[in-house]
Amino acid sequence: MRQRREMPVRDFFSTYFVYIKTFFRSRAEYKTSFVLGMASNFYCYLITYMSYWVLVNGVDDLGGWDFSDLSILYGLSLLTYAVSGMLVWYSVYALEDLIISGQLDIMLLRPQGLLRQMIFQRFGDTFLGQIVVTIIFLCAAFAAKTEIVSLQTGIYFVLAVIGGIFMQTGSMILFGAFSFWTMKSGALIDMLFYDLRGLTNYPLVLYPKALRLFLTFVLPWAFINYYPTLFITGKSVNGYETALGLAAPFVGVLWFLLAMGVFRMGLRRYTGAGG
Amino acid sequence: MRNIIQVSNLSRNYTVAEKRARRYRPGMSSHKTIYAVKNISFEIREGETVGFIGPNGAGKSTTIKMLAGILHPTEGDVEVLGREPYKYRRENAKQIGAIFGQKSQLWWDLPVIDTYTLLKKIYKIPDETYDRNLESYTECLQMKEFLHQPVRQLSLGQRMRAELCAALLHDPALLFLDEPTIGLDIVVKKQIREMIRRINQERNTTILLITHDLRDIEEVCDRIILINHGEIIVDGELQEVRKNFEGFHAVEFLCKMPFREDIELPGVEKWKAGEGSFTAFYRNEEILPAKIIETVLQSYLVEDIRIKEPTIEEIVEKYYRA
Repeated sequence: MRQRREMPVRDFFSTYFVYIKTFFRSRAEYKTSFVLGMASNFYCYLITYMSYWVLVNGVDDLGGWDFSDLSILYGLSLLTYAVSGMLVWYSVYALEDLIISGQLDIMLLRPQGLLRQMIFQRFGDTFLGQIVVTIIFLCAAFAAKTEIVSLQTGIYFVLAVIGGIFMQTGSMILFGAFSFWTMKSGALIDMLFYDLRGLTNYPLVLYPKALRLFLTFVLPWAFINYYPTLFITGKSVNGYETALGLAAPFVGVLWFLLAMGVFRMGLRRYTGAGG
Repeated sequence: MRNIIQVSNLSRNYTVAEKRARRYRPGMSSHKTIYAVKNISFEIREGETVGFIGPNGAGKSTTIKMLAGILHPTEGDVEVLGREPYKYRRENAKQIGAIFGQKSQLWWDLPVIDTYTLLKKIYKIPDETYDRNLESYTECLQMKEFLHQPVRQLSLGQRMRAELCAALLHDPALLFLDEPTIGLDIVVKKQIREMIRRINQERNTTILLITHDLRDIEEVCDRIILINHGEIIVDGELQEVRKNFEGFHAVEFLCKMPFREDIELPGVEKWKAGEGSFTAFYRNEEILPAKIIETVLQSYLVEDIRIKEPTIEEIVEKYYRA
């Protein structure tokens, strides 16, 4: 029999598309909940942007950062977070339940990779609200700062977003994978991921040097948005910061690969293949 | 016929921490190894229907999980469809269908038919195979009226039929059924058994059925493997197991005349007289029931005769208690 050549990437997206279509059909049964979920996310993050506006107008010196700079800084973090959330957030957070309920076994019985199934399993529709609000503020920021808009910035921006998505997705997978070792990983994720990453919603230049180094070399959340924003807005003060800005997309991919490795280790532990 | 499953000296153990110490002493934590499955060996040929029985916690599900490649064996070899399942989990999955009665592989919020559309995509089922199977199985399992209902609205009986259909759409060569009839009414149980039987006959699908309902076994399986404490106690054709079982073979005579305790036959263990009947309990390997009947008919006016084979329940109960 003639075998159609496998196109892994195309296959992934065509399958994902079928899942998303099916998901929205089922979601249509709960129209109110869907609309409310979107709206509350939209509203919640709109408030955050507003708080920056208040901050910028109330505080004299934010290290030379204006509202547009902060919008880009926060926008990069939120946009990449929301896209990653759409992909894996719900399933990764449910991993613990999947293990306890035995549903993970059902997934392992299917001829697809586990991670792929986790992405397919649940489309994170609620994150759409964040994406919409973020795109509005990012557009406003670039419109207000036409002097930084160029082809070069555009290409870098796209790469930085892709790197950021890799890093955020990787982080969700990495911390989710802890469920393979310890059943209660929620609190740890909140502390390491959400609370510490929250610090990067403000310019790192405001923080002590030790903290800056920590967010660069230990838990490298600063690569998601801080160094890319420095690069985009031309705020890098030296070659070191420029280099980190250029490295950001690659750091994201590396972090993702690391997370995948840990996830595989966890899965091997679950199936009892050593460890 | 080729072996579809080959298991030799397979073991799987778990290490559990013993919480005995009253206070914490570093380096003194003790671990205990528990065998879920201990040194089992068996083969299953293509097209066989095998009932896998044993008390709760006997190691049945652990074994099936190792066959499916979800769990790695601690020791021993296992080969399914000619491959080591834990190394080729995804390849094997294409040819395996499964039901875990306590869990669902259907999408809770979706209509049944949408789950099938997704499965078609996941298993890359060709259009014609999918259409043919869907038509045939939904017809046979009488699923047409709830095919477009969300799974969460289905009754248990409807859901289990939908699960079975889901497990069959991709024409699996091997079917793992872990309690597919649990909690179902008689009619649905019968439908499910008939479907399994039909699949086996029409497609020569190999069936491995775990159940606590021994009627399932009697109606579906030709062979049983009985497992307890992680070890195989009995493995054989259902007929053979039944025949060789030492114990409650009996012939009951319905008879108005009182039994006078006047018959002595080698091989008959004891006689038991009752109201309007009496019964001979005998050893299957020492005497044929025909011989007993012949002897009794010579001196009694008998209205009816019933030969009592040991039920599968009796056999299983004896082994469970052992």
